[in-house]
Amino acid sequence: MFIGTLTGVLPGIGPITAIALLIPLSFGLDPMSGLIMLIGIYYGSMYGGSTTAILVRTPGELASVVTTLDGYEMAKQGRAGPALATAAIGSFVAGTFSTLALMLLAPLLALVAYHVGSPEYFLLIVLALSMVSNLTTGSILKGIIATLFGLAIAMVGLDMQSGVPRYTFGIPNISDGIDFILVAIALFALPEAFINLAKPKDAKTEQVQKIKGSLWMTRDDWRRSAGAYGRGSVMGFIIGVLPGIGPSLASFVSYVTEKRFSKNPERFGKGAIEGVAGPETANNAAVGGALVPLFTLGIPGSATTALLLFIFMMYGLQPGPMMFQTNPDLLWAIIASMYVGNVMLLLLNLPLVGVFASLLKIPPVPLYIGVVAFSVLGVYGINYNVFDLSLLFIFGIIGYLMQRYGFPLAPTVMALVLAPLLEQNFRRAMSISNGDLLMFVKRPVSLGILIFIVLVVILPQILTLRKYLKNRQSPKSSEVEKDISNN
Amino acid sequence: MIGPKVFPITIGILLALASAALMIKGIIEAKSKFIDDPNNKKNILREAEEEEEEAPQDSVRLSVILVTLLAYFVLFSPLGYVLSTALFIFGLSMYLDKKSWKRNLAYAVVFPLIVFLLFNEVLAVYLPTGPFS
Repeated sequence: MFIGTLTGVLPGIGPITAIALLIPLSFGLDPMSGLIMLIGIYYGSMYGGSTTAILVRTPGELASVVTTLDGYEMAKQGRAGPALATAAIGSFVAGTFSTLALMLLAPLLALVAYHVGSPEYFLLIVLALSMVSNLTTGSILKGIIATLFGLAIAMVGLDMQSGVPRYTFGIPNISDGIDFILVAIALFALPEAFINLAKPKDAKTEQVQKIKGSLWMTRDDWRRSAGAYGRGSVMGFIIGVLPGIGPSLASFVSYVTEKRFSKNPERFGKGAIEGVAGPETANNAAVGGALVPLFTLGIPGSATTALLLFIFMMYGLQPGPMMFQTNPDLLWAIIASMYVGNVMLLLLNLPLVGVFASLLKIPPVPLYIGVVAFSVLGVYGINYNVFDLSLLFIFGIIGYLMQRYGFPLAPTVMALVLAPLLEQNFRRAMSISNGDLLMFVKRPVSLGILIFIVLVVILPQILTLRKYLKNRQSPKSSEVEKDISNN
Repeated sequence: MIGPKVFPITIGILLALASAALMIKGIIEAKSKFIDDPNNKKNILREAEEEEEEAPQDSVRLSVILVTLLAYFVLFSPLGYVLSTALFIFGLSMYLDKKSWKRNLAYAVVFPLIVFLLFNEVLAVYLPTGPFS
C-alpha cells in the first residue's frame, strides 16, 4: 500500500507501470500476500496521483487530471492541506463503499455467471475487448488495431490444443509464447522512461506548492465534501464495473456532476473543494468496481485489471464463478484485506503527505534510469535469459511508437491476457455445435450479448457520422456550439 | 474442425483490414478540415493524453538512450549484472546530466550493488556475475 502511494506520486508512473514492475517481486510471496500487495499498490497509486495533481498540477496518472483543476488552485490559496485531506478521505470512503458493494454483488453475479457456457463466455470476452477498444481513446480504429496486436502477440507459441508451434520462427526461446509481464513492462514502463528522458533539456517544470497551514478541513469543507463523497462512490463504482471505462472517466463524470449539482458552479476551477472530493472518490470507487467483473466473471475491464488477472492465473487461480466455489476463503481474505488496506491508507497517508511531497523533488534523470533498470531486473527475473532482454528492447520501442502515435496500450495488454481464453472458448463452442457458426445466434443469452456487441461497436460510429454531416452543412453554428459548451 | 491456423489467420485478416482503414482515414482527414471533436466530455482526458503524444522529443537524445540500452543488454551477461548496470547508469546519467556527476557516480555504484545483494541473498533471484564468479 505504501509502495503504491509512493509510485503513484511519481509523475508518469501510474498504477499499471507500478504493478507491472513489481509483479516479479511478488513472485517470492505466497498468493495471498502477493495479491494483496498488488491490489494495495493499485489503490495507493490512485491516491498518490492526486498528491501530485494538487501540489504540482501534474497528474500522477490519467485519473488525476481532473483533480488538477481545483486542487492546484486550492494549493495556491494555501489550502493544499484540506485538498489532500479530502482526497484521502474521499478515497477511503470510496474504498470502503466499493469493497462493501463488491462483497454484496459478487456472490450474486457469480451465481448468474455460473450458467454461462462456452459460447457466451467467448462473446463476453469479445464484448469486453470491443468496449475497451472503443472507449479507451479517441480513435476507435487505433483501439481496434491495438487489440488485434495484442491478440497477435498471444498467438506466438505452441498451440494449446494441437501442440503445433505457431510463429516461433524456429527460435526455441519463444516456443512458450512471449511472456505477458515482459510485454506489459515493455509497453508501459519503458516508453514512459524514454519519453521523459528524451525530452530536450529545457522542458518546463511546474512549481511545487508547499503545504502551508493546517491539514484540517473546516466544517464548511466537510459539509461540501460529504455529498461529493456519496455521489462519487456510487457513480465511480458503477462506472468501474463496465469494461473499458474506469477511474479516469469516473473522475471526469464526477467533476461534471458536482458542478451541475452545486449551488454556485462558478466556484469550480478556482478551488472548490467538491471538485477534488468528488473525482478522487469516484476514481477509487472505480477501482473497486473494476474488480467486480474480474472476480466474478474472470474478465478484466482495464489494463490494470488485466495485469491482476494475469497474476491470479500465475498463482494457478482462475477467477470467475468457479472461484467462489473452490477458493472462497482466498477470495474473502482478499476482500477483507482490501478493507484493512483502506483503513491503513487513511491513517498512513494523512500524516505522511509531507514525505510524499518531497519525493516529487526527485529529478527525472535518475528516476527514469531507475525505472529502466528495474524493468530490466523484472524481465530478467522471469526466465533468467538474456534473449528476453532483446524482446524487451523491441517491445519497448514498439510501446514508445504506440504512445507517440496515439495508439492506446490498454487494449493490447487486455487482449494478450484474454487471448487464450478467447480461443479456447471459441473452439469449445465450435466443437459443441460441430462447426455451426449460427450457434451464437441460436442460443438466447449469446444472442443477447451479440446484439449488445453490435450496439457498442456501431453506436459511436453513427454518432460521429451524424456530427460530421451536421458540421459539413453549417460550420458557423458548430462554432457557436463549441463556444457555449466550452463555457 | 477448427485447427491451429484459424485464429491467427482471422486475426491477421482483421489486422490488415483495420490498418488499411486507418491509412485511408488518415488520407481523408488530411484532405478535409473536419475536426473530430464531438464530445466535450472527452476533451480534458484527451488533452492529457495528447500532451503525452506531443511532448517535445529530442530524437538525438532518444537514439543515444536506445543505443546505450542496447549496449547494456549486450554486455549484461558477459560483464555480469553489477558491472553492466553500473556502466549503464553512469553512462546514461552522465550523458543526460553532466553537472551532477557526483550523484551519478554514487547512483551508478550504489544501485547495482544494493540490488545485487538484495536479489541474490534475500530473494534468491540469481543475477549474472560475469567474470567475477
